[in-house]
Amino acid sequence: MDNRLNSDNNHLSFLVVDDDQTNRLILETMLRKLGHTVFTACNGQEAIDSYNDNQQDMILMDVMMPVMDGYDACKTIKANNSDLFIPIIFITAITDDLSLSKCIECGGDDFLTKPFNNVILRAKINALTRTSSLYNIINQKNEEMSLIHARLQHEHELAESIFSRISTPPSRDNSSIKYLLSPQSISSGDILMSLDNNGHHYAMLGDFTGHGLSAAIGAIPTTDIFYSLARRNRSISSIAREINNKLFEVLPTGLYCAACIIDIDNTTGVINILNAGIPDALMLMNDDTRFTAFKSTNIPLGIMNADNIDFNIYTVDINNNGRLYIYSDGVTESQNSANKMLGQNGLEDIILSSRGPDSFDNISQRLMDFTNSGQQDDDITICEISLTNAAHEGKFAAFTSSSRWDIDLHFDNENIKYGNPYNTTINLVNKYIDSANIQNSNSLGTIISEIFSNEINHSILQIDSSIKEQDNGFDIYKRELTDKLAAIKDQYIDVSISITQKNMKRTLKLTISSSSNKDYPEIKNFTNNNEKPHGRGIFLLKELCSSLTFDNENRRISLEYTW
Amino acid sequence: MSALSHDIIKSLRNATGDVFHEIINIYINDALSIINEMESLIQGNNIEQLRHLVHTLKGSSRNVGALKIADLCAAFEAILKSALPCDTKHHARIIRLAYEETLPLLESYIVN
Repeated sequence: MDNRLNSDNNHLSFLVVDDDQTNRLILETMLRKLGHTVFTACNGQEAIDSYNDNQQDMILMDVMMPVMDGYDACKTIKANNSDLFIPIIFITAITDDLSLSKCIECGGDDFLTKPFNNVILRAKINALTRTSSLYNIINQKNEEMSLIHARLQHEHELAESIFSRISTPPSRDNSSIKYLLSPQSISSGDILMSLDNNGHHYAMLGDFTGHGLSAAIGAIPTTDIFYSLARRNRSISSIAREINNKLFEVLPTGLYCAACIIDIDNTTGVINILNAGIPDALMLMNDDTRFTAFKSTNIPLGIMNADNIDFNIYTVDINNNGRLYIYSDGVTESQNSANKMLGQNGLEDIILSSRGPDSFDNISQRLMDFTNSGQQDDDITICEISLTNAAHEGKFAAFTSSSRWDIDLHFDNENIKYGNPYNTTINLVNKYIDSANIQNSNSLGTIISEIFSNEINHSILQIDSSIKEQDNGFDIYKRELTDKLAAIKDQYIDVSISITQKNMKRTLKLTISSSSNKDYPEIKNFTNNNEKPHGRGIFLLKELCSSLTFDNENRRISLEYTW
Repeated sequence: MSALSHDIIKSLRNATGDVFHEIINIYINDALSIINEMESLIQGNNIEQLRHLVHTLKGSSRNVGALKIADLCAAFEAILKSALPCDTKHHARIIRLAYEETLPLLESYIVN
């Protein structure tokens, strides 16, 4: 730190440079009487030497001197000490504009004309002292900023090192997943992870707020939890919950992770997608020109404790060939040189027009061409997951060779409201039956449909079926169903299914329960009454199933069907 | 107009205190040396060095209030700088006369 011209302005050191002894002595005397220390020099060269030895606070410099004049001495001293502000006052009897401007051009800061005036001299010293103090404060701050910058750079490099070690992206050899990672700074705030395990292909894209160390702090537990739970084939809502709670615990307010977690479940042939703050995941079936978009329906991870949050998950069939794209907002918000944002439509256009065997290479190249022409303000990550990978199918077949299959399903409020629990369930059942080469039964769909219909329409929504007896009763019933479904809160349905095959006899055991407290009616009251337009579903179940129990004590329905 | 500015010299005396006598004595001696040297340089026609001496005498004279000498030096310096033909001996002579006129006035401040 430079302590020159600090707060004690009464004790400065001066260098008086003049070839005339009278002038030197007058200034020396005046300055000493003001309490300052004075050094003297008779010409420019002596001034340079004296300054090099003593680094005086201020210099009073004559212009015309033998050996070296004041102009050259001023230039040399300023050039040799460019990081310092050394006030130089020219003492001169010169009054012509050209000579005075030359004093300024060579680095002089002020003039003192002869005869010397004590009051003016003191005022000029004070003014230059203030300027010098400000300059030195700025200089000091700049030095501090340089140190901070160097420290930050080091921390960035450290963060990058940590980040690259913990968030190794999927192998390029993995033909089912292709990706582009283009960090905005040394270290990215985006992470991409992928794991194949036991018939499941897990993938996660995380976009942390910020970059560098702050992102690395969150990435450590995130990658740890993702791989640990994916290896144990845990559901993506469990993975999201664990990551969320850990990030909520470790990250300061304002830092969080937008994420999309995907489970391509080849054991059941469905994809589960959990989108928490990432732009729409896009699925494109081969030969199709329209995307299926999976919008974010969850808050990003790490913002609030999620013990009591049910994550919304999309479940879709993968029996069609296609590709799934997940990407960070850096992709759609990237700008070209004309400051035009790529946007959602721009990305979709690129994907649609990049079909073929090298489609993802084309997409990557076109994205980089777009952003390279402009300024990259955020990390750019896009990932393509193939839904036709033979490796998945092989694992699926191996996994499903069991003769017993159990599955527990939980449908939360949003699944019931916006999803289709019946479709999801029947798809899972059919997938299993197909893969295990079990003979199917046309009645399975009817049974599962009726059981869900009863639980949703009568237990949760509590719609009275007798409405159907009115004129336009079916329309009224349908309208009430739509209205009540749109208004449900905090509802859920749990379903347990077991399918076994023994000696060519196949048995489905199904238990369904829900958040409803409404008692089930007596089964015996359901009869084959063709005159009434309602109540036939339960009768049908009674006819089809070998066992059907309405258990009001445990608030559940159990059935058994054999074929 | 007086050859010596009493305001300037009184101000100088206030500003320099005990050293004032020394300053005036130095000026009296140095100014005489410079005038002598000016006359030598005129003999040798060394105009550049002459101009430098005239400039120096102008500055110190102004500082002690010897304004007549300072003004004559300023005029002489300007002519020398312009490189126009001039009677250098004449200028040196009137500067010496001004010095002789100023000297007793300066000495009166030392005595008193």
